[in-house]
Amino acid sequence: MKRGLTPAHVTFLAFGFAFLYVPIALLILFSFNDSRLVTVWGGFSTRWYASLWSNAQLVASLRASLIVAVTSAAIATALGTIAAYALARFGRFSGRSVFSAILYAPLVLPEVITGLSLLLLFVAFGVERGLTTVIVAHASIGMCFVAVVVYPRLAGMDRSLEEAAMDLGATPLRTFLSVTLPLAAPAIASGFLLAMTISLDDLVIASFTSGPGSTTLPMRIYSQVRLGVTPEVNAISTLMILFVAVCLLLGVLITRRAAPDRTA
Amino acid sequence: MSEPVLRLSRLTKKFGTVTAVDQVSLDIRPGEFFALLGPSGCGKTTLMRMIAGFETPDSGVIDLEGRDLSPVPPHRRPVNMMFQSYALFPHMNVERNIAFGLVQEGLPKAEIATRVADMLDLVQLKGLAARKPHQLSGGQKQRVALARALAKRPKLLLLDEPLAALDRKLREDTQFELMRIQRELGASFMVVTHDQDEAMAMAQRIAVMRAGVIEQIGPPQDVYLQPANTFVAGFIGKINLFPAKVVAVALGRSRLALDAGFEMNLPRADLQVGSVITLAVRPEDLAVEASGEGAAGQVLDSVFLGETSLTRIALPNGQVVQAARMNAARNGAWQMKRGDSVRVQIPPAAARVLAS
Repeated sequence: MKRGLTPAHVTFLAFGFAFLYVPIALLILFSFNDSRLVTVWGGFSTRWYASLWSNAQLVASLRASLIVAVTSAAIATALGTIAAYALARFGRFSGRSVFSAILYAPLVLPEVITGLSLLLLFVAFGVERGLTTVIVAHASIGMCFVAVVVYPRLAGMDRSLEEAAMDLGATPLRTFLSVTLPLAAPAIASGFLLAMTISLDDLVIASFTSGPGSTTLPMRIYSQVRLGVTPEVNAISTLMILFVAVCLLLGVLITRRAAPDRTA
Repeated sequence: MSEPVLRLSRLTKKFGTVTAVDQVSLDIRPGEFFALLGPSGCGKTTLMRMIAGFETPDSGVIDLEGRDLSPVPPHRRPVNMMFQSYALFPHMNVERNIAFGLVQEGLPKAEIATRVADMLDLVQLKGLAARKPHQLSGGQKQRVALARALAKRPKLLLLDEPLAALDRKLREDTQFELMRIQRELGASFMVVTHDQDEAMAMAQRIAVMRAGVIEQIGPPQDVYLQPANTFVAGFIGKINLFPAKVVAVALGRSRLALDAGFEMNLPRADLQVGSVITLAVRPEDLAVEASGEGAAGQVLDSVFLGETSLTRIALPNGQVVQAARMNAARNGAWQMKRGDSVRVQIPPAAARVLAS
C-alpha cells in the first residue's frame, strides 16, 4: 500500500482539524477583540484579560476551581494508585472482576447520573454542600481515571524488580516506596494531571454537588453565557484552554521521558 | 563432614493439579557450588523460589543452618538471589543498586561505601559506579546483579539461569568468573540451569531434575559416567541406548543378546537370566572398526566438529547410534563416508546397565 500524504489525505486532515479547532481558535481570537460586541472585530486588545481581575465573581470561582482541582486530583491520585496496585498485584482475589468493573464504571456512566447519585448521597447523609462536596465528587471521578492510567504501568512492570528488593531485605512497604512508586511515578504524574484537567472541565457534576459560595469556573461561565457571551468569558476560557493544554503537554513529556525505563 | 548450609526435606509444591516440586530432599554443603539441572518446566525454578521465599511450599521443610525458614518472609531470609532478568533497579545507578541491600540493613554510610567498592572490585566493574543499568552491556548488567546479590554476604546465593542471557563466548568467560568469585568468597552457590555443559563446567555437584523429582545427585563425573537412568543419561550429554536380554550368567559374567544383533559378555553377575536391560554407551566409548566382531553397521553420515568428529551409524535392527572420536593429530584422519560398512562394538568397561 502506498504510504505518505496524498491530496485527499491532506484535505481530510484539514477538515478534521478544522472541525476540532476552528471553534477554539475563534474563541481565542475574540478574547483579544477590543469591541464589546462578541462577534464584531474591533481591533486587537488585551483589555478583557485585565478586566478579568476586577471581576470579583470570576476571580472567586477561579480560586474555587483551582482549589477543587488540586485537592481532588491529589486525593484521586492516592486512591487511584492504590486501586491500580490492588488490581495489578493482588492476583485473582475474590471479587476482582467486580472490583475492576466498578472502578471503571464511572468512566462510561453519564455525568448527570453520577452527579445526581452523589447529590442524593450528600443529602441522605445531611452533608452541607460546598467546596468539600465538590472535591469529594471530583476525587471519586478522578480516581477512576488515575487507576486507568496507572494500572497498565504497574501490570507491565517486571515483577522480579519488586522481588529483588524484598530479596535484598526491603520490607513490602519499603519495596513499594523505593521501587514500585518511583517506577510508576510517570504514570502517577500523568494520572494527577488528567484528574486535575477533568476536575477543571467539569460542569455537570459540580452543578449537582456544589453549594452557595462554591461556584466553580465552568459553572460561572455557563451562568454568565446564559445572560450573553461577553469578551471576558472568552478571555477566561482562553486561559483555561492554555492551562489544560500545558497539563496535557506535561503529561506527554513525562510519559516520553519515562519511556527508556520500560525496556530495562 | 560439616553440617549442610541448606537442607530440604520432602519439599512439595502443587499448582492446581500439577505437582511442580515433588518430595524433593537435598543438602547444600558449606562453600559448595551446586547446580540444579533440568529441562524447562521441571520445577527447578519453583524449587529455588521456595528457598528465596517467593513461593510457599505445600509441605516439607526448608532448613537453613538449623533454622526452619518456612515462617520467614523473603526480606528476612539470609539467602540472596540473582534473577534471570537481573532485575536491576532502572532508576538507580550501579552504586545504589549494589548498596540497596546494605541500606535496608541500616549499615553506616562509610561501611556501605567500602562494601560497594569491594563488590565493584570483585566483579571488576570499577569506574562504572555512576552508570544507570540501561547504559550497561548484558555482561556488565550480569556482574552488577551478582555484586548486588553478594553485597549482603549471604550464606547461600541462588542464581537463576545466570548465564542464559549472555552470548556463547561471554558465557564461557563468565563461568570461570563465577567459579573464581565463589572460591574467593567461600559462600555456597546454587545455580539453576537447563544447560548441562554449564552445570558440568561449574558445579561440584549436580542434581538432575525431571517433572518435579530429583533423578540423581552427584559430582559431574558420576552423573556423566554412572547415570542413574535413561533420562539422566540422555539429558547429560549424548548417549546410545542398547536394549538387551540376559541369556546367561556364569563365572562372574553375563552373556547379553542385544537387539542390535550381536552378543557380548559383561563382567557382572548380578543380572537375572531372562531379564531385559538397557546398556548405555557414550558416543566416545563406542568402538567402530572396519571389520571384526560386533554389530554390522552402515555409516549414515559423519560430521566434523573441530575437536571431535561425530558419525551416525545404522544397525541391522534399524537403530541409529552415534560414535565420536577426537580429531587429535596422532589419531590421524577418521575416514568415514556415507555407505561405509563398519563393525560396532561395545567395550564392556564402558557400558552402563540402566534400569530404563
